Amino acid sequence: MGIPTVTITTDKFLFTSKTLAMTDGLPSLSLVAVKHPLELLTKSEIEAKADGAFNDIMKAATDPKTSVSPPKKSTATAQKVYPAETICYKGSIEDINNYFFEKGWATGIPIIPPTKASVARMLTGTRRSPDEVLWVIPPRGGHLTVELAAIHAVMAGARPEYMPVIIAIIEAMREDACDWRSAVTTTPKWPVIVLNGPIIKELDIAYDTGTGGPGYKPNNAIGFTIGLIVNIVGGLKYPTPNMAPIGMGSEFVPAVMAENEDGIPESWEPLHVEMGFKKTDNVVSVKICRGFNLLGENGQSMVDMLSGYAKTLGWCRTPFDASEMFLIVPPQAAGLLAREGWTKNKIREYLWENARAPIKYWKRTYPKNAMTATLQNTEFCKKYGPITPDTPVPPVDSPEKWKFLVTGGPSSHAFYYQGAQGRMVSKLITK
Amino acid sequence: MTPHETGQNCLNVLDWEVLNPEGVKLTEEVRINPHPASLIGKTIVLTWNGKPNGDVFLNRVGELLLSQAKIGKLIKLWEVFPNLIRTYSLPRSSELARAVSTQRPDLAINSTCD
Repeated sequence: MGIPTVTITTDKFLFTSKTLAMTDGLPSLSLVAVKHPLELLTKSEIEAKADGAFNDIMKAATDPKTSVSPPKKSTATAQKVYPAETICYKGSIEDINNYFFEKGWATGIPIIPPTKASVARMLTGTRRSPDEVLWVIPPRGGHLTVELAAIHAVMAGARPEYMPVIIAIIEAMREDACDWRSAVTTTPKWPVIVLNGPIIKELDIAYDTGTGGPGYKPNNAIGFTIGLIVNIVGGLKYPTPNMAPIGMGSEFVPAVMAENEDGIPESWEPLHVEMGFKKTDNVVSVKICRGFNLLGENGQSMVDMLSGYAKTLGWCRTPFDASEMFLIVPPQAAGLLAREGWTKNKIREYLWENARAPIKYWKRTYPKNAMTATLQNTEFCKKYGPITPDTPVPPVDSPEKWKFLVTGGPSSHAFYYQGAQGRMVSKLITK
Repeated sequence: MTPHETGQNCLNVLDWEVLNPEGVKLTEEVRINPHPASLIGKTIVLTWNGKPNGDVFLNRVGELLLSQAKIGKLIKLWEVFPNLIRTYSLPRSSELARAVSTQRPDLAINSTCD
């Protein structure tokens, strides 16, 4: 487009801004830092910060160096993405774990050292070529080859037969629609991973009580592999460039669940079928999420229960977001809902109409933010009238953004993951 | 007791031949668009990403650009395209970039503050 830019950030976020700029090949991007923060300051305090930064903004805007910046290769061009470098190390298993951690090759949880032999064994689990680049992972921009995925699978204690699942997850996460790059900024987020199809039982993936939790080797070895990959190859490290004020365990080991296909009501389609696949396909679905909570309101009927869900869900996220919300419904609750005639679409419509909160309580959104402006020009206003402070608005921008998974053990409680940027992406698992 | 049972295995010094798990980073530098030598008479677009008070900061920068830098025209993109204030995603960021280009500015100043 040929338009020069100056980007203003606060000093606390400068390293993150520089890292992302470097990943995009823009090490010379004109950045101006002002002292953190701007939020919750008075108008005069903010204007004083603008006054103080103005000389730097002018300097960056008219910097002659930026007009002569030649395109050049990075210093890493001498390195090859494949094969991975071999490292000789002498020491105990504790020593080598400490060495990996100090090098930034571990997240704090002990790993199994990825020897050449163990990686070669792991690669027997896939027919993909080890030199194939699967993903250039933000924010660091590390090149993930099939070999490198196998290295991390060894480190996480995975088995060769998990490799096709691991690769399918990567193929989902690398999609622009999944939007991992936008997600990994300032709040803790992680991929929530769901398996469907015969592979669940073939690999003994847990899908009943506690699925997604500790105690299940395939679920957690696959999750840990993905956690290592995005943290080490993707460089998603605290305290920079990842600026989330607090971290979460799911960033180490993302939850890997399987749909409880034995417990899905007959009138409900499994998740992967809703995502466009055949019932017999082996499919992985990934949604980038943040936050997990219980929907625990009980009642005398399923309408009471849904009403309880709606009360919580109306307040669970800033309104009218384009990203999905992800509901987890145990088979018992799903069965009771289905018995009373609640299809997935009927529940979606119910939540669309009832899971709402008045827009005035979202101070970042109303009255001057884009969400309000977007709302004023949508079908939503045609149906419900102009936006006023008391207009109840849902946390999603359309009913189909409510996604459902039937899984877990006996319970009438449901749960939800708060969806972050991007959409749910599903991929076929090919062996 | 075996070495495993006593934990001695954890302390055994071994020669390891392991593979580096970091992954190589290869980035080609992109040419930065030439910046103007002066802002006098130029058209400047300000973009605000919806973060709290970023608009207040940019409003003041706009005042200074007009009064001190003598720019020709100031465009606050959030007033022209209010639906693009909060993008926070790859597809919407592309929309925002296209919206900036429709204004044919000489420079865009973006606030990503928090």
